[in-house]
Amino acid sequence: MAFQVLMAISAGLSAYSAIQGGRAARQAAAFDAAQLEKQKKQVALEAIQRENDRMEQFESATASNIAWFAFSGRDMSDRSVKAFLDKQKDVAYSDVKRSNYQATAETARLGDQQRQRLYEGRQAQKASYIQAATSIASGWYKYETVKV
Amino acid sequence: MAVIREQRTFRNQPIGVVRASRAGEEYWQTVGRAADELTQTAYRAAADQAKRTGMETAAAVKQSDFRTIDPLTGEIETFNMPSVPQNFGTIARDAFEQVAENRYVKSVESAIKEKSAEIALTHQNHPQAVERYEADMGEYLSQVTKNVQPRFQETTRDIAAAWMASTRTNLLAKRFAIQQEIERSNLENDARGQATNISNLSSMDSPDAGVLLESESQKQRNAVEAGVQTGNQADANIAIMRRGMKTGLLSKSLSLTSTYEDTDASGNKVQKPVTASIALLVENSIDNQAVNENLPESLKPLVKSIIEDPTFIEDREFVGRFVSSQRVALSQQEGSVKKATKLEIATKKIINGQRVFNTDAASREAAQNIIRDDAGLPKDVSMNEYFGLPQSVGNSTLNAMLYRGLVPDGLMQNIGLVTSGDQPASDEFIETTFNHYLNYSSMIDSSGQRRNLLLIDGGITKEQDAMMRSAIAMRNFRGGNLRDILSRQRAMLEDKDAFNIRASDVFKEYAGDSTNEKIDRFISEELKIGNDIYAIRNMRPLINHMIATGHNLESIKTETTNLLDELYMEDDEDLVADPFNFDPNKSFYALKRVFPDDKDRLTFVSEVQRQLLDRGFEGFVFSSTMKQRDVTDRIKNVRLVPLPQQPLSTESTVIYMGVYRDDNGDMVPLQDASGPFMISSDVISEQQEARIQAQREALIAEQDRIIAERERQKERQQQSIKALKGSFGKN
Repeated sequence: MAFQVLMAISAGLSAYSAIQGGRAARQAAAFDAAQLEKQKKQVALEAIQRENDRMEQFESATASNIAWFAFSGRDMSDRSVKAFLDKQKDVAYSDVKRSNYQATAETARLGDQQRQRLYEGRQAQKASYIQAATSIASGWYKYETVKV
Repeated sequence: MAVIREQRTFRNQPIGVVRASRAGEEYWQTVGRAADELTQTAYRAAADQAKRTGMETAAAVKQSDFRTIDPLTGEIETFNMPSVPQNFGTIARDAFEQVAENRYVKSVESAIKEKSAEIALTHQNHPQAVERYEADMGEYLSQVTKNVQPRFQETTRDIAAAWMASTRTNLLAKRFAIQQEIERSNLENDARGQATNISNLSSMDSPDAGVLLESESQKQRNAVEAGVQTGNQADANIAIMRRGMKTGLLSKSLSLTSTYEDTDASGNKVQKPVTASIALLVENSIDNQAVNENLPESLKPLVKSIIEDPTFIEDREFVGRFVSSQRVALSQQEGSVKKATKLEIATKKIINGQRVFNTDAASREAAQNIIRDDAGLPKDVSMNEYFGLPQSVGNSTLNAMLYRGLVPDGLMQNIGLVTSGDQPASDEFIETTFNHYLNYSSMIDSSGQRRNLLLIDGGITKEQDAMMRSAIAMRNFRGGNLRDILSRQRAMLEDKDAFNIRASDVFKEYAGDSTNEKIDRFISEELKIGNDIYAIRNMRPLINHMIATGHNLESIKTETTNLLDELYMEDDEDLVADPFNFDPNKSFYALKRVFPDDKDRLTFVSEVQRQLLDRGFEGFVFSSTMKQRDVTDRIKNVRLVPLPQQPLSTESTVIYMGVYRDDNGDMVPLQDASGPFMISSDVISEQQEARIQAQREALIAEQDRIIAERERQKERQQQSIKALKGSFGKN
């Protein structure tokens, strides 16, 4: 009878460990998702910082260029000066756009990863329940086989 | 110089992400694997345990639970398959069923074997043993097949077929052996009968003696070729007839009326009667294997021819004993100082076919000596050892002695040794002693009744008979070693407590406070003995020994019934009436038991009839033949009532009283003015003695008359010679 009791205990432990394993997997997935959330925010922050830096760089360069043209005695209404400054502006804005697009893409990827991990965690937990049920069923079957 | 503008030098860099640790998950996975492993280990151990428990539980079921016995008939009603305990799992259940099924089949097999052995034992000595066995077994099997579960019916038929084939072969072999034994016995009886004829012819100097010897010897040899007997048996039978030739020649020369030629003082040849001294010279010649110088010349050629015969060495003991018996007869006739010893007289009685008693030690010794001499053994051989050898089983002279009612001491001592277990004995010795017992304890006579030739007055004891019988029955029933069976039997009889427990179990269906009461009730009710104390005393030893050997009730019933049939024989000739017996048609004192030798029984019947006539009881007859005929009212049949309580009665000698049925149909004593008609079974010994004495006196008178006649003849011759001489003037 001792073996039957031991078998029942070990089957129960097997089921419990499966459930706990599933729970641990889900917790790990949740942790990973949180990490990805942070990374997503950081990417956004970086994009803003890059935009700000670029705009500051553009504004500084524009001021210098205007001062240079004034010192050179060129009228700001001069078409060539104006064309030059417009060109500078296009370049700067184009960079900002590209940087923002990059950030958006990365944030989207991280979001995907985050959802994927959460999904994995949930599935792992579900699988652990099934495994636990299987362990209990198997243990019960074996007990029925060997009981005296 | 242009203005210096501050440039941003730091910007946030990607810091990456920390992946979550899988340690927790791995931890539980490890725990899970460990638990699974533990489950497997526990499962294997539990499976072993379950299998063992299932097998042990099935093995612990009592054998009796596999059968339901009808308490009224004692027969098996059904064979049961025990149900599996409810709490058993698959493994335990399978193991239980496997063992239980094996035991179920074995139970059926065992029942078939037991019944087969019982039926075979019942019919084994019947001429139609095989047919009866098959019929009874067929009936039993049809019943058994109905009683077993359907899925075991084919198995049951297979077991039964195999067992029946085996038993049938054994019974056929036994039947063949019995038939061969009868044939062999007939051949031996023929040889003995022809030996008498040859002896008679030889004593008359008839050439037919040799012709008869040759033709009968050829018949014996033909029987060897036909496989009826062995060469040695044929040689032994031929030797019996050959000895008849020699005894014929010797009896002619050494009988009470024989004469031999001698020379008188005048040198004339005269015929003189043979004396014991002459016979002694012949005896010495035989013993020394050389013709004695002092032997009369006329007898020397005869003695020389016997000594120089090529078969002399083989026949020497027999011829010597015959000459010795002739010498004893002659010396008794002469009133010689040489008195015959008790042993010589007993030997002579056996040879002459007179009645002898087993209670007489000299008769038993004489019988043993004759067996020894006929077997060609030296005089100093231990007959105990000889009876312990397999070749002694079936010895024809031993058979003849037992039929005469004589049990040799050596054989009795061997049975005593085997049953007591006091001295170590080899397996061969024990087996041989049991074979002797089997041969003589249950002989079937011509009327189909069993006779125990060993259990007689002065023979083996009831205890010894019971022990041997129980052991044999147990071996037939369950097999095993006889030594072990006997040993267990002795141990159980010594352990009173164990014996009482077993006895109470065997006789549990009989009411009684004590074991003895239960057994007495069994004897009284089952064997229908009633309160016959003598019969109860005869049955008790066998019952005790059978209980000690481990027999069941059925087996005890069978064996005790057999013993009862052997001891209390059916009086099929209707010559004895035993109103005091539990069964008036049977009697411990039936003539067949009191006179095992048919010849003695016929002599006794004749003697009773003669005494009836002597006493003047006219119209009364004592004859089985007359009873079978239609008799008129004028003739009354006499029956004998045994009176064992008479002082002179013993187990082998009993006083009978004559009774008859009067006109009213009542059984009344036969009496006249001198008292009731009483007669002792010993009368034939007295009658034989008287007859022999009368013959002897007649012979002596005849011899005296011959001698006197010769003397007168001689006297007349002398007178004639004297007268003739006187006529010539001479004295």
